[in-house]
Amino acid sequence: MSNKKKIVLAEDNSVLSLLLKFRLEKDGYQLFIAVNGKEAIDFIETEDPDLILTDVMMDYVSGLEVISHVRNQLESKTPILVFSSSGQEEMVLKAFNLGANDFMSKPLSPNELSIRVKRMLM
Amino acid sequence: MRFPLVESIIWTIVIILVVIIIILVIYLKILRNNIRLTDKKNKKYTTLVEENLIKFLYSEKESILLTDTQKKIIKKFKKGVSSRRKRKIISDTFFNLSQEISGSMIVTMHKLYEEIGLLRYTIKKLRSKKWNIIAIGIRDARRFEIDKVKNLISNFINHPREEVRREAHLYFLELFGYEGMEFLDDLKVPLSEWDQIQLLGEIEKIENHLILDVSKWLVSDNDYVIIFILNIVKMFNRMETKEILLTLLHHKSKDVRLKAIETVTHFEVLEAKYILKSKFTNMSLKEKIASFLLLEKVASDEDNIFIINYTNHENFEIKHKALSILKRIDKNMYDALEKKSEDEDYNRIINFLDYSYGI
Amino acid sequence: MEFNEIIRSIILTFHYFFLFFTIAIVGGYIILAVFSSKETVDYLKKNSFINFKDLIKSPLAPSISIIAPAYNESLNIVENVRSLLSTHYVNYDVIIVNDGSKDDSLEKLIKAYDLEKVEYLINYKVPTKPLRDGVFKSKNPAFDKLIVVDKQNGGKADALNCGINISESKYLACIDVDCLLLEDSLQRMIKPFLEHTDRKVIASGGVIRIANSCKIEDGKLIDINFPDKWIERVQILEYLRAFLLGRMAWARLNGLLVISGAFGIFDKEIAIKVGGYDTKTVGEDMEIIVRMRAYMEEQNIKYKVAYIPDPLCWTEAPDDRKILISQRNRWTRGTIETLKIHKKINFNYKYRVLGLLSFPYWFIFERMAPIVEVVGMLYFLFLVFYQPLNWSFVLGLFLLAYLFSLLFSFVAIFTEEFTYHQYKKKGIGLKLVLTIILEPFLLHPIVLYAAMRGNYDYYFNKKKKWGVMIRKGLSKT
Repeated sequence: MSNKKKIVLAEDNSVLSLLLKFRLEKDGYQLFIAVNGKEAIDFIETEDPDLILTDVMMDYVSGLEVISHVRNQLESKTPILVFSSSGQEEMVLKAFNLGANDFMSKPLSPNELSIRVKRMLM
Repeated sequence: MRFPLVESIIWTIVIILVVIIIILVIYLKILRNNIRLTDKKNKKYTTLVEENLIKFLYSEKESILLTDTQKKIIKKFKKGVSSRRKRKIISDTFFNLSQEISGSMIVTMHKLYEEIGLLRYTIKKLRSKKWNIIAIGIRDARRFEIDKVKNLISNFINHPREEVRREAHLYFLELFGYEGMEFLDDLKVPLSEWDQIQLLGEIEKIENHLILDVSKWLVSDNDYVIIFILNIVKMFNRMETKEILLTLLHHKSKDVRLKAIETVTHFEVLEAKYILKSKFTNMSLKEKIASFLLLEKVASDEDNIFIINYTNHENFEIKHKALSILKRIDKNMYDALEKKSEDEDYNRIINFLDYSYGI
Repeated sequence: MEFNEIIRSIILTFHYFFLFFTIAIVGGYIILAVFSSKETVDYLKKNSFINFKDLIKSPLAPSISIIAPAYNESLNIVENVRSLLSTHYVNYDVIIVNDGSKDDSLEKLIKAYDLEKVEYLINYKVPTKPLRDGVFKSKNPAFDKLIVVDKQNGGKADALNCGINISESKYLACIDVDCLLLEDSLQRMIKPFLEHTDRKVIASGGVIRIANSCKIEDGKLIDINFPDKWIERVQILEYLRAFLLGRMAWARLNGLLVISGAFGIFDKEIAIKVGGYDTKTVGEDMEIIVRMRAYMEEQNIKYKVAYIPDPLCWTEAPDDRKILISQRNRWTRGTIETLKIHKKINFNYKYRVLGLLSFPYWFIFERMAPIVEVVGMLYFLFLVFYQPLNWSFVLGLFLLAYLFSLLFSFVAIFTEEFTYHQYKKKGIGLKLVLTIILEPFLLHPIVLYAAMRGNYDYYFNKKKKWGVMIRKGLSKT
């Protein structure tokens, strides 16, 4: 129906995901919010998004496993941006090795995220 | 045998107990219902607060004046703040978000925090008589970076409850960065390992690690402060403290000495080797083992005579380290050693070093 | 006439003995309930504003080795290990000690985790049975925290000792391999070791929760249910009472004598100094704590055995009467053996709280209680035949005892509701009440019978082997 670009956002902090959803919808995207890695994978499989935003540390299935699922199982090239907190540098390196395209460290600036998303979807 | 009095007492207690138990059953039912209901209400209210907060943050305009939606939201929050349950939800939601984002929104949120009256409650908590309320008060002040209450909180630096003083210490670090560390000057009480972990976690967030001169705390009267600073020295590679580190090897406290050995090992300070070798016989076992970890890194062929003395040491770790160091620094001397001994451990170590491990 | 006089005075002695015993038990329980509620409130106050996240990534987080002995656990071993490897902590390793299993546990592990044999210089700080196939580590860096040791069979205590020798960490987390640990277990259990500066914490113990009927997926607890089988329900109540009331109170008094073998953390240095686990008793989990405590008392060092009431460790309880009986039989023998090994502590003022309070309490109310109860029953039967009884009096007394036991169960349930409230679903409240009412008839006779069997086996059947626990496995959903 709509030709809006689809984004899957996996993040376990509900306020933050709401904030980012608000912001990115304002920018004209369609958002799918997952609270853990498992839900994220479900959304990715059913919605075939244009971009995936995921936190590295989540319950059930970590962000790393999400990336590995997308790149290895689904063999998809959908761009992936990961969020990480301080002290997770090692995980970010692993994320890049698995095929993540970009990363942002928390605390996040929503404006910066908006710009990066725009650039990644160009 | 009949005891009419005892008998009637027993039956009276039985009846009382039955009544109590019936009341308990009913109360259990009510309690469980209440918990379920409150949970549901809390969830609903949390979603509401989240939505309102985000609406507020996004309806901000260029002008200084608040929009109508924002005024309405402030009114709603103000109403919520008067209830304890809702106040907690609002405060937690604010915190959850403020931890994850940066930039101008944080400033807006701090202003909002004051505006809706949460600040007043935080100050009230700080004046409470209950230690756990004070601790929560300081935590809130820390979360929302309220620097007005600095003087109030400085009274808690040596509070008898570790939970309270820990929050106070964290407050100073989080709000004032390295300047906040001055509280260590006045610290009379111990810093537990748990305290140190929390404090270091906060220090890691500070951006410029070079401006601070930590050496004055390495000579503190409080041993815990010295150990804490040694951790900082190690973590942020403050090698300029080397001379003090060497004097700490002679410190009167065993724990400080041990930590100092660990720190000089991290930096592989060659001078420390001579000091430790000279006082080796008078050391505790733990210090001896720690010293061998240093030797493992910095020993050279000049140490062969010292090392060979310990290849038959009664402690397994020392024996193991001595043999493996000797093999590295003086292969000839190592090869000249007796390869079979009465001591099973010795044989196993030799076997491990000769056949299984390395060349 | 002489003879009647003697009988009469014997009866009187018995009367007074049972009266005092009963009063002491009820009084003891009331005191324990008070202490436990104080401790619970304090614990919650203390930890309501603690941020555990800083510990996970801190370079100061102390090293911990999880030691899990496994004997013929082939059914679930691969998943259980995966669950252990996903613990939220940095500085830890997982040591699986395959205690001479006769099944294909080792092969399964080698295959699942890409293991290879490595040379490992073991420092035999405590004696154990020799290795069988040796020490294994994974070739895959994703599993670098895993160490698998294959050794000759020597029992659980011996396997734990082997793990102690392998470990290079400061602390040991000894667990049953089939336990399900929540991800933040290590962070919470290690905290007491780090927060005290005025005393040495030698061990910390956790609560064991019953996982029967709970939904578990990929080694994670998804949904908590209250089981349908009565034998499982009554054990849930029993565990709540023991862990939320009993142990909490003893923690307050710093008098804990036992840390459950299913999940406890120990200071490795002290554990080695006392010689590790005792392989000659079936109650090695209790014995090591008593020995470590005795050691600290003898050395005159201020110490503490900590206790964490958070629901962190979930395990499968026996759902079959026979297995339950053999489990309790083993516990009874473990208690008897431990108390016997350390009998010099009993009523010995040199051991302070340990000698004057915890140890005598265990001796009188845990060790002797079942025997006193059976003797009491026999005595009651004797009275029934010997003299006419005042039945209203008897009935009153029985009701009194029964109602008091219900009251304590209620205290336990209310503690659970006010603190952790794990059984959230509607309708469980009623089931809990029914369980409270029926438990004295359903579980108590079994426990009493098992305790008597344990006493019998201890004195007359020394070769009695371990009770075998048949596992259905936690992975079923």
